Amino acid sequence: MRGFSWQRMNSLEETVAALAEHGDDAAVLAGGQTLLNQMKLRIVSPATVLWIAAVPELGSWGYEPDSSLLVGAIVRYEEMQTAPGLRGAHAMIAKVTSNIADQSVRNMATVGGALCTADPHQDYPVLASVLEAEIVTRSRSSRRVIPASEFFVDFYQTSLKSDELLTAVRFPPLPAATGWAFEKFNLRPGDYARAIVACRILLDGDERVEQARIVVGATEAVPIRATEAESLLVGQRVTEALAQRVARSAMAATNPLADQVFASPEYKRELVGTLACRAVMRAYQQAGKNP
Amino acid sequence: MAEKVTALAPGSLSGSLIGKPVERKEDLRLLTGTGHFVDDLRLPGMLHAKILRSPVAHARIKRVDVAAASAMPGVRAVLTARDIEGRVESWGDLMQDLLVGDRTAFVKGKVLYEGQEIAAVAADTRYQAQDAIEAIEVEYEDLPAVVDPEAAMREDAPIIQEGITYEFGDGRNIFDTFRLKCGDWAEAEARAAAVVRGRFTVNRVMGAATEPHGCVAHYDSSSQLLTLYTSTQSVFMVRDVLSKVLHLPRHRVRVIAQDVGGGFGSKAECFPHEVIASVLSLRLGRPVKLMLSRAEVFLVGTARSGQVRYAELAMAQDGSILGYRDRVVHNVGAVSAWGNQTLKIGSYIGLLPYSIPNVDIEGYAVHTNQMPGGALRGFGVPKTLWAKEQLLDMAAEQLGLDPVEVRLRNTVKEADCPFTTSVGQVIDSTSMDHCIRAAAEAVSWDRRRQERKPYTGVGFAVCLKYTSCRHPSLDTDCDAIRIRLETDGTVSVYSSGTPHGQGHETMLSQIVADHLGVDFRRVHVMSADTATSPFGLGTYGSRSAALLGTATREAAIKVRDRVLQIASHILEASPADLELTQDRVQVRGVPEMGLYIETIAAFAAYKSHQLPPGVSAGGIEESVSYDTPTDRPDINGCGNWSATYSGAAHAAVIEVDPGTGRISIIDYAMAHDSGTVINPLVVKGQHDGAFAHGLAWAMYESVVYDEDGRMMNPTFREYYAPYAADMPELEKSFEIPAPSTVIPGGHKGAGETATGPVAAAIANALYDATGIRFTELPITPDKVLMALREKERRGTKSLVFPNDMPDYEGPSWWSEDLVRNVRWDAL
Repeated sequence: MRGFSWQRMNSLEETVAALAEHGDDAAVLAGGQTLLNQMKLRIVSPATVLWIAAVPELGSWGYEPDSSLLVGAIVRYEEMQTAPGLRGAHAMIAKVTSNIADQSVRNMATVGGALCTADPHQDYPVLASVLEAEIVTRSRSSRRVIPASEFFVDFYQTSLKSDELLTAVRFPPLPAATGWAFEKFNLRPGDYARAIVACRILLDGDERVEQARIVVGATEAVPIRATEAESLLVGQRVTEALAQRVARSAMAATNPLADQVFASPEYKRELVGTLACRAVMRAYQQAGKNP
Repeated sequence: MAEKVTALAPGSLSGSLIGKPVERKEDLRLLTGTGHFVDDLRLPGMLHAKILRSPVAHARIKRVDVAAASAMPGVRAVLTARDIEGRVESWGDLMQDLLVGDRTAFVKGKVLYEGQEIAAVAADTRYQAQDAIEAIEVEYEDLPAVVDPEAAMREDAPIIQEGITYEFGDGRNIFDTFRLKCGDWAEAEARAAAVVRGRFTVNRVMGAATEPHGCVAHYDSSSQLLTLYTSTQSVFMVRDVLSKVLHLPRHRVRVIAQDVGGGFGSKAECFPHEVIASVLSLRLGRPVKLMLSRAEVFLVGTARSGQVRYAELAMAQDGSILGYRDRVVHNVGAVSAWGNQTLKIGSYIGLLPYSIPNVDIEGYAVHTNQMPGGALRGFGVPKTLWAKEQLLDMAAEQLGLDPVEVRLRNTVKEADCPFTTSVGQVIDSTSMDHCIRAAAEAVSWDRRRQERKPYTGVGFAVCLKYTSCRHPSLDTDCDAIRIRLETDGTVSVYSSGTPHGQGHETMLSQIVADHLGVDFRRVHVMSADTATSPFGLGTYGSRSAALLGTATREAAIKVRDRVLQIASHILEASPADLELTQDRVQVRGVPEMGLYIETIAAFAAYKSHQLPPGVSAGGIEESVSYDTPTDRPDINGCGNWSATYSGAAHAAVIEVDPGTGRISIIDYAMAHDSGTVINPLVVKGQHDGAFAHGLAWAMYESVVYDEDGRMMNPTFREYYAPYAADMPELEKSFEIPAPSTVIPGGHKGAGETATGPVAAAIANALYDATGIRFTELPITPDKVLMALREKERRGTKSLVFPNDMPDYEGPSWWSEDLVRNVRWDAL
C-alpha cells in the first residue's frame, strides 16, 4: 500500500462533489473487498480514498411503487443473502449472494462494489444480466440509468465515468410464473467461478416457454447472453433432449479464455454445456411449480 | 476402534500419561492469539527490510543501479551482490552433501529462477523499504528458460548452473544421481505373468504454512553477538550455516525460534533472507526485520521437487511382486535445497511395505529454471507410492486379483518382524497387515467391489514410512534433551527440537511426568534457542516422538536416579525401595515416609550437608543426546537407513460427476501404526493434517509455470489449497500400534504417514469409477472431464491419461552412453 488521504463521505452530494474534484485520482471505498487487496499489492495507488460506507442515501434496499427492486450501492452481501420478502425470481439474488466467497467477505462486500469491480469470474455481473438489471449512477451534473448489458465493458472495466458514482442497482419486476436457476462451478467452495450459467424461464398457460433468458459467465471478459439458445426454448415444453440442444447452443455462444489455472478453454466450454443443461431443466421445473 | 479422541484436562488424569489424550499445552495461547511469532517482535530501534526479486526466471544481470533508492527517505542501507562479494560465502554444502554451495544471498551474475534475490533495502518503515526497492533499476538480458526437466537433460539444453562443475556428467543439467539395485530385473520380467508400465508425473506443491517465512536479525556490537529470531524448523541448522556463511564463530551466533506457524519441510534450511537480514544488521548495528509476503513465499519458499517416473512392475500369477524398475527424472529447480535427498530417500523408502526381490532404480536430479526443491511432508516417499501403488493395481487387474489381497500377500507382516527386506531395510515391527484389513473393512471393500455403481469407485493404497532417518549425506540422526529439576520442584526441559505444530511441549511433558513422577503442569518445555538448547538436528522427518522422546525419557531417568540417590541417603532406605509419584519420593508401602521432590532439589543445591558422601552440591540437571542405530547406504543404495517404520493403509470411496469432472470423496478410511502413541490427540491431528496435505497434492495444488519460468499462480486465489469444507469427515481413523523394538519407548513417527497413500488411493478409486488410469498430478476436474470425453470419443473401456503408451520403450533421453558417463554413487 502507498500513502493516501482518506475522506469520510457524509452524503451523496458530498461524494459526487469530491469525485468531480479528484476524478481519476480518487478511489471509492465501500466494503473494501476488492480495493484494499489491490491497494495492498500496489496494483492501484489512489491519492484520495473516499469512504462511502456511511452515506445514508446509498444504504437501503426495497421495492419501488412500480414493483422494481432498488438496491443501494453500499448494501452488503450479508443483508441481501437474508433479505426477506424478495418477490418471484428476485429470490435468486439472496440465493446467489449466500453462495459467494465466505461469510467474513459477505459481512463487508457490497452490491455496488461487486458491480463496479466487474470481475468476470464473480457472480453479480451474471446476476445483473440475467435479471435485466439497470445501474443507476450520479455525478455532480448528471444522472444515468445504464442497462447491465452496456455497463460491463471489459475485464474490470465498466462504462462508469471517473466522476460518476454507482448509487443503486434496479431489478425490474418479473412475472410470478418465472423459474430460474444459477449454476456455478468452482474448485473450492467460495472460489471465483470457472463457469456460470444463469437461466430464467417464463411459461405460458400450456407449460410452454414464453420467454427465456440464458447468460453465460466467467468464460469471457463480460457476461455473454446466449440468444440462440434462448430462442430454441421459446414455444417448447422442455425435455432432457431439448435441454441438451440448448446446452450445445450455449456452448457455441461463448469463446472461453484461458485465464485461470486448471481450466482450459475446452474445459470451460464443456462446463458451460453441463451447467446450461442443468440450469434449463431446473428453471423449467421451477417455473412449472409457480403458476 | 475408531473412537472419537477427546481432550482431557491434565488435572483430571491419574497414573501414566503416555497414551492419554492430554489437552495440549500450546492450545491456549495459540487459540487466543497470544502466541509469539516472528512478526510480533518489535525490538527498540528496529528497521524494516525488503528484498528486490527478479521478475524473470533466466537472465543475465547487466546493471543494478541503487543510486535513486539510496537517496530515498528513511533508507538506511541498500545491499547488492557487489557489497558482499568475497565476504559472504555461498552455502548448501554443509548439511546437504552438495559438492558445492549453490545457494547465494543474491543473484551472482545470472538469475536462475523467478523471485531470486537481487538487492535489499533496510529503512525506517516497511513502506519506505518497499518504495526504495521499487526505485532500484535493473537491466536484464533475457535467456531462454528451461522449465521441463526432461528438456533440461538434453545435450543441447542451456546450462543453468554455469559456475559449477558437477562430477556426475557434462552438461545435461544433471547435478546428482541415485541408484538402487538388488536382484535382476530382466529375470523378474521374464518370469512375470504380468508386467505393467507407466509414465507417471508428479506436480510441485508447497508447504503453504500459515506463517510466512521471516526473521528479525539483531547484531549487538557490545557483546558482538548476532541474534536471529526466525521461523524455522531447525535452529542449529540455520545457526551453523549462517555462521559459516558470515565467517562468524558459532558461539557468536544465536538463533531463536519461538512459535512457528507451520513448516511441513519448507523451513528446514537456511534461506537467503536470513543471511540478508543478518548482513544488514551487522552493517547497521540495529535490529532488522525481514518478513516475506505471501507472494514471495509462493515464489521462493521451496516446493516439492517435480518428477517424471518411467516405472515398471512385474508380478507373478499369484500376485507376488517380482520386480520393480524405474527411471526417475527429478526436477529440483535451479538450486537444490533438499531436492536430491528426496530423490534418494523417496525412492528407497517408497518401495515399502513390500520386499521386492528385483529392483532397478536410476534417478537423475536435474536443474530447471524453477524455485528450489525443498523438503515437504513425506520427503519424496509419496512420489514413489504414486507410481508403484497404481502399478500394483494395474497388474492385479491384468491377473484378475483383488488389489487388497495383493497388498496383503506382498506386505511385510507383523509375524515376520524383525524382517530384512531385499534392499536392506530392517522392519523392527509393523501392523501393516492388520491396518490393510481394518481400512478395507471400514469401507466395506468386498461389497463395494461387487455392487458396481456408475461413476462410483473404491481405491486402496498403503505406505510404510521411515520414522527417523540417516540421510545418505547427513551422517547423523541426533537430537538432545537437557532436563533441570528446579529447586521448587518444577522441571525445565531444553530441547534441540524446533516444533511448529507437533505439540512437543505437551508430548515431552507427558514423558517427563511419567518418568519423574511430577505433575504434568509443573514441567515446562523451553522454546528453541541455540544459546540454551542442547545441540540437535531439529524437527522434520517424523523424528521427534522417537528421537526427542527417547532423549527425554533417558534424561528423565537420569534425573530420577539422582533424586533417588539423595532421597535414599536422607530416608535411609535403599533406592530400590523408593518410588517417585505425585511430586514425592516415598518408601514403598510406607507413604508417610517420604520427601517432596522440591525438598530434595533444594537440598541438592543449598544444603550440601544432607547429601550422600562424595556428592557435591549443585542443581540436578541431566543431558542426553540420542542418535538412532541406522546405517549409511552401501554402493547399491541398500542398507537400513532408517530406525523404525510407521504404517498407513488408506481406502477411498469416490464419486465422479461426469458433467463437471468433480471428484467427491464419499467415504475414506485410514488405519495407521504409529507405534506406542504418546498423545492420541496429537497423533490424530498429525494424521488429519498429513491427509490434508496428501489431498491437496492429489487434487488441488500445483505450482504452475509458464514456458518462460514465471509462476502463474502465486496467490491463494489460484494456488488452490483445500479448505476445511473440502476435507472428508475422517471419522474412520484407526490406530493399530506395533511398538517399535528399536526405540526404547516403542514410539514411531506420525507426521507424514498419512500423506503418502492419498494420491494413489484416489487414483485407484478413479480408475475403478471411470476406467481412466491417471498418471499425472494433480487430478483436477478439468483433466478428469477431458479424459472422460476422450474415452467416450475412443469408445474404449479404459484409458491411460494423459500418457497412453502401448509401445513403452522407456525414456527417450535414456542411453547406454548416459549411464556410462554418469558417476554412480549411492552416497
